Amino acid sequence: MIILGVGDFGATSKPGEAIKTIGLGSCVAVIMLDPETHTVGMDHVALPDSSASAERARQKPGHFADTGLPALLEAMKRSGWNGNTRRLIVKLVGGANVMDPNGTFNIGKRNVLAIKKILWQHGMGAVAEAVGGQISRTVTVDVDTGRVRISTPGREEMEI
Amino acid sequence: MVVSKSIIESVRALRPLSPSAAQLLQVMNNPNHSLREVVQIAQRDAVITAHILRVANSAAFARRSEVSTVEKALPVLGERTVVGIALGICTAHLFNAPLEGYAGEKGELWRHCLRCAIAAREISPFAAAPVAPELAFTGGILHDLGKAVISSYLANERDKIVEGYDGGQFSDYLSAEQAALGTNHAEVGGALGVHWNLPAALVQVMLHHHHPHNAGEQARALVYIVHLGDFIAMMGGSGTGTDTMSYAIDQSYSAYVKISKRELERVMIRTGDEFEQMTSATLNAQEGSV
Repeated sequence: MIILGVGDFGATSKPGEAIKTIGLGSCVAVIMLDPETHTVGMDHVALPDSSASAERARQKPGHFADTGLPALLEAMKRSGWNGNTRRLIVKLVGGANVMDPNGTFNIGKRNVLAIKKILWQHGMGAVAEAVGGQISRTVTVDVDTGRVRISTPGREEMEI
Repeated sequence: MVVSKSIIESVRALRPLSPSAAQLLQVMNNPNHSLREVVQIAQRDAVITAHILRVANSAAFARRSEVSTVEKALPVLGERTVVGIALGICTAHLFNAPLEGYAGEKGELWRHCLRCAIAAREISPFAAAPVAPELAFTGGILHDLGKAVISSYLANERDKIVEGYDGGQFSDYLSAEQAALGTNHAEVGGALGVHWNLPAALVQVMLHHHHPHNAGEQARALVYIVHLGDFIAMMGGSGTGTDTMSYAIDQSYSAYVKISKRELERVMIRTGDEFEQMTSATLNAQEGSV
């Protein structure tokens, strides 16, 4: 099991392997699956825009939506995906929201919007998502089955 | 309600705060305190000293030469880390209790409170009126201790509470606790703070951290800071279980804390960095105690 922390990204096509990230609050897990090669990848995005910290973007490109998604696509290529974006299935999980009338603390919503914008620029879109709301989420994606499973404390596991 | 009465009574039966922890809190409450005072209190407590030295010599704070005294450890760790370690040890019996009522794992309450404490300290420079960063940190450490007390009472009600909250019956998780037990973790935390004779400002934090507008005027800015620190901790991935993210932000916060989107993002980055550095060291210290 590959466990991703905040700002980490990774991809794998190793049989029996899985990628997991724990306790997504306002962060969003961008999950990519290539059904042809059974390559799966994930980026734990914490913030929408790398202009918040160029240094952090250099150290951990996965931290931001704008630097993380290109880095995840490169990781997918290294693990077997052929670079054809039409083949990729994208799913989004996380981005729990704080209802802030000032708009300052609604980072979850801003993360989701930034990710969708960048996916669009790459000619992609999410086919499934479990985003927003006021809960935390833990997500796992399996290489063998491509299943994306989401758990939240005290709630039944769900799949998207 | 009978349940709420027995919960408040159970607070009175809790062992008092250790003398070292009580003294540290009193010292930290004084904005003009000296490092020497912190060192003196820590040095007098063998358990605290041992843990501070262990953390100072751990990989997270890798040094070429061994740190052999609390005095030498202070510049390595920083005052807030020393106080965080000391408080964590003195209250480990509460922080280490499993949060069954919240489906929280052992250690989650400590991680949440530590992250909130760091965030509160990082937020404090943005307060409209001056708030001592170290007091904000201490408030963050203590704010949710009521959960450790109330958790066992919530265990049987947990599924019903979650169902009710998810079904939109309650405006936030605090209201759900109130409906189930006739009290809530903030009220119980406030009672715990009184039981421990904590400084009034810290009692206000424990009692009002979800509704800071209800705090007394003198402590209100501090309570708003911890309120926002609580959100930053949950947003960053450190919650306490079923209730994570299930609270409302107090819409008046901008009158007390002036922070832009960009500044908040940088606070989140700094908070995450320091949390990562401190968490392994202090968690180990926690696990080694009590």
